[in-house]
Amino acid sequence: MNAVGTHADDIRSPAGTVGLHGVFAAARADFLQRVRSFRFLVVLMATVALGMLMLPTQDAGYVVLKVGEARGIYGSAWVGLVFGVIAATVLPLLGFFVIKDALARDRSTRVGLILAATPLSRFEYLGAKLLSNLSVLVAILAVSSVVAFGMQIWRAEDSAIHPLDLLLHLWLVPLPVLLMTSAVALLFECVPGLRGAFGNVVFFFLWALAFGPSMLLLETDESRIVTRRADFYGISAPLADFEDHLPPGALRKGGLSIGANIGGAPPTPVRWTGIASDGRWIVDRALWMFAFVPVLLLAVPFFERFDPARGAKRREEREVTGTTDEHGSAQTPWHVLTPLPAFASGWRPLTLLLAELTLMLKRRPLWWYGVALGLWIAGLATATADAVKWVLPIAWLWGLTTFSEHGARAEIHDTRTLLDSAPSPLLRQLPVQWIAGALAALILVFPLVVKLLLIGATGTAAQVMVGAGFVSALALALGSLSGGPRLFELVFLMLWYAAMQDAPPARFTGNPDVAFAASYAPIYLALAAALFAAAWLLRLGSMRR
Amino acid sequence: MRIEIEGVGKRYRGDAWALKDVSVTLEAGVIGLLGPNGAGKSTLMNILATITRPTTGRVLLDGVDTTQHPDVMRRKLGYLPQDFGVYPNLSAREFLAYLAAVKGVPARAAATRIDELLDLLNLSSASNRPLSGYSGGMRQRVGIAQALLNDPAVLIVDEPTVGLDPEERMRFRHLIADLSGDRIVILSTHIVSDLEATASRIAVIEKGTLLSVATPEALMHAAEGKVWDWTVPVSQLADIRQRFQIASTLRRGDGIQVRVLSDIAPAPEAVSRAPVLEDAYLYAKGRARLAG
Repeated sequence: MNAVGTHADDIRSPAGTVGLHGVFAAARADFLQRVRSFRFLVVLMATVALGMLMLPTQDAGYVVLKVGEARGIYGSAWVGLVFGVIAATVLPLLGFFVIKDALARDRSTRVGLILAATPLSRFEYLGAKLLSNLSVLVAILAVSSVVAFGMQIWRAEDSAIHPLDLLLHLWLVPLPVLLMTSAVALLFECVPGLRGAFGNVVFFFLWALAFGPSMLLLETDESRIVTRRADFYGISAPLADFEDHLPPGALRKGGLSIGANIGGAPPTPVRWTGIASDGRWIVDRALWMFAFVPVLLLAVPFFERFDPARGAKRREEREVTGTTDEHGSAQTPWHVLTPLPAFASGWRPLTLLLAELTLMLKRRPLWWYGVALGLWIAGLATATADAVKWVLPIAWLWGLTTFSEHGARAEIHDTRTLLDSAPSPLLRQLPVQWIAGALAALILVFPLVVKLLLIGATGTAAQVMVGAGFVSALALALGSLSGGPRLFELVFLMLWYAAMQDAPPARFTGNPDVAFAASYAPIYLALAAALFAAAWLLRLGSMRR
Repeated sequence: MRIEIEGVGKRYRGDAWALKDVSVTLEAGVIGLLGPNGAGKSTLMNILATITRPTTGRVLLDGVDTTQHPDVMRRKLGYLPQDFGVYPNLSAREFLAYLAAVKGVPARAAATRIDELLDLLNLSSASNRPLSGYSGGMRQRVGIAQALLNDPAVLIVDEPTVGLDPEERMRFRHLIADLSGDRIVILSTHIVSDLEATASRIAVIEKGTLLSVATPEALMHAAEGKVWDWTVPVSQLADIRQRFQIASTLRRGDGIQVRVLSDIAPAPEAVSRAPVLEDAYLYAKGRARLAG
């Protein structure tokens, strides 16, 4: 009988399922495991901190949600809407990186093997994980709700508290989106190619692309926000209702702004009582909550039920089978081993640097090298300024998995004790790791850097080198902080996206249009030094515990 | 060369002491650290390997405090932790070359050393394959190889035979016996047979406390006349377990043969037996429990 594997469903109980009790028990255990961690506490603290920025004062110099030149008076409905809109737009991205480890944890702890040998079906297991994913996001939303109440009282623009108005706007807007995020995170964990950093990049672009059309839909009609049932984010109806309280054509003047809008004249506060009584909107949001179901169903056939003979593990298994475990061959007696020189514990940075570069760049799939080679050629074939603006960032995005693993390799592969028992682990290893990361980034754009130097664009070349040093330091600092690759991937992707949107301060990759001193390179140089120092202190702290 | 462990203790969060006031001096030879799972062996190993800082006490290597000057120990150290990982995309040869660089072994000397260690540990023919395809026993042998890369004067191996099959385990014991001499080899295990052929001294540890440090002969001498074979009906086994310390049981045609550790004969028909190391270890533990 196969306890685990393709026929594992055969051993289910006569009823065929463990029922809702089993699903809830599995979801509860998973949720508790996740929230009883320092990392989750940090997430909640960040939620509180961000929540306190959601309702700026009139003279704060920024506004979070603005329609035309107006915002709502901070009454319960508007406060709920502001928190709800930000939760629907920002939380899916941040939350995805928080929750995308439900299956990975069961793989690494091997709890998955135990669960696979129980009557819990694939669908039930994924259902439990979906509930757990959602519970984590809901916990964040719950903390946001408390902060929202507190902020309304603190700002005191409208001291009348209407809990239903606040909570309906705050929860109904983001809940379908968070359900979908929970399901997509599961799907990405089930599909072998999307489990790692590549999946994180795909999700990032999905997130960026998904919200864009929704915003376009909002503003299709030039002068009015049109209420659309097809609005997955659920913000068109409340914003259209708010717009009814504004003078005609207000939207055309100031547009719609979601997120930190810095500068400009302070918006005019307008009283708005919300659309909590709009039954159609509530029904629409309730219907959108089922949008996740196809995604969850799609994940089921991809879920390999922790069977090592299926999915991503198959290749590995073949290798195990193919590797003969040797016995009986001639052994070298210990006493004939060549003695080592007496100085065999000195610091050899070049040897270590080569070893680090080997770790970063060797044994990648052939197609990875193929694309890297293509980017080398593109860097040479494209006009220099365009190559720096476009080819270089794409090359570094291509190296994302290399950098993210580099920052937390010892933690990912559990080799920290081996490394820390070597002489002067911090002094000898960390600087070399930083240089290796920067060199790897430069190797990815090597022909372009050579071209820059040959044509005398030394300022731009220096900016690129600073960028490489910054990326390496960022990977080490965030890897040391989080003990994994995902925090770096998230921050890198956000920064990269901002850079590609031509936000000058985000151009860590270098700006060919300005000289070194006029660019942001000096700031990134200082940031790289600060991040390296942070990585040093974090490692030192962990060694002293 | 000597390692002096002076009043070493380790307290974790919640006032839980994993190790309490351990003092012992270690000199060249194999010292076996024997105790049940959770006894504090790995904590002591991590402290000796400078991975964990003790809450109390200190560890001196030739008179130098390794908590204050960890590199004094690390330069002479080969360490095989109980749990460790490998980089799955690297081959054994590449992984060992990387760790040799981290340890500061010159590249040329490291290459020779790695070849010899791969041969010594019977990994030569698989040495260029990715570690992701290695079995548990093969990975453990890679772990042993990395601990020996820098020809360590102090070798600390924590549960080294976990995952090894009986033949590999026997080979490892021979290797440890071969390695001792002017080195200090500290071998932690809960498997008594790992130490029978190799250990010059055995430290018994339980619940974070060092119960005894003695040669295997002295341990066994203490148990002489305390080991009894007694065949009883199956129905009496539960009662006997309550009354006596049992080393082992063996099912026989006429009942259960129980190996009892007791200062006096448990019954007139019980037969006195010569102790083996496992009896001696269990007897030492039992005696310490009574004293505690």
